[in-house]
Amino acid sequence: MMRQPPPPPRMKLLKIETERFILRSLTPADASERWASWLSDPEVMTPVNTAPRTMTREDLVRYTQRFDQQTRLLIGIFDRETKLHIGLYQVDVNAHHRTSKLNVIVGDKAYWGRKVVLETRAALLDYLFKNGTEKVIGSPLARNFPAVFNYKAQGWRLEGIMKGQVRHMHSNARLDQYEFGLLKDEWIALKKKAGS
Amino acid sequence: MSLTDIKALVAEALQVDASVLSDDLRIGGIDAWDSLAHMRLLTAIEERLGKPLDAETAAGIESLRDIERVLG
Repeated sequence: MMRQPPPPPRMKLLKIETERFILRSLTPADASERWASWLSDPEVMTPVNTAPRTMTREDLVRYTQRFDQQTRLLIGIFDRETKLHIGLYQVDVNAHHRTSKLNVIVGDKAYWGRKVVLETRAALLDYLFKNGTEKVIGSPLARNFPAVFNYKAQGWRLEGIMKGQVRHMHSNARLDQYEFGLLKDEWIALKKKAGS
Repeated sequence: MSLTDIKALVAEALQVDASVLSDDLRIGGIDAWDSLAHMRLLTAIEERLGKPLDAETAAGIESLRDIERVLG
């Protein structure tokens, strides 16, 4: 009889500090008008093909409660110096395949072009790979050029182009999506190369 | 377009002087080539082409040489 591999360790509420930012699990207490303002901003939401909408603090409280923080993680990005909440990650963990699918939004536009994603996602990858994930996956829309830049600049591999994968939020047009991936060993090698 | 012209296009998108761009520059190779600069760059390429980049072509743009190939 084949021995089953041990299950990946369970994750708990996380807090990770990088040079300029703090990543930590979002809780109902983090629901704020500031966060809601990103969700109603077309400039923030259009690149992720999500119709801007007005959300109340109560809506956001309910939203945070949809994440069990074990297999569905909701992680806030905070400015380490000002403590301002500037963005968030959603991570869907597949414990069986040991993959994690990442989505990120930097909602505070004052932080765009400041390498927030490169810095914070590097720390998040370290965390995920230390906690059972063996491959990470990202699926930006092909027209989301800043997101595509971040995957490429961080060394993720473009694994495929999914033609007409999703419907445009306001029309029947179909949008292309990329699939990026990165294995744990590749991440370790990239870090080693960057450090040498 | 010549490599000099490509460098002028990239320099404008990255908001730097063309003299700092090496011939073998790749995506993210200098600080100024960040996510917003990349968006400006691909938008500028589309303006030159007069049409949107398809997903395959956009995915392949990672260096000055790639841009030279796309713009011909």
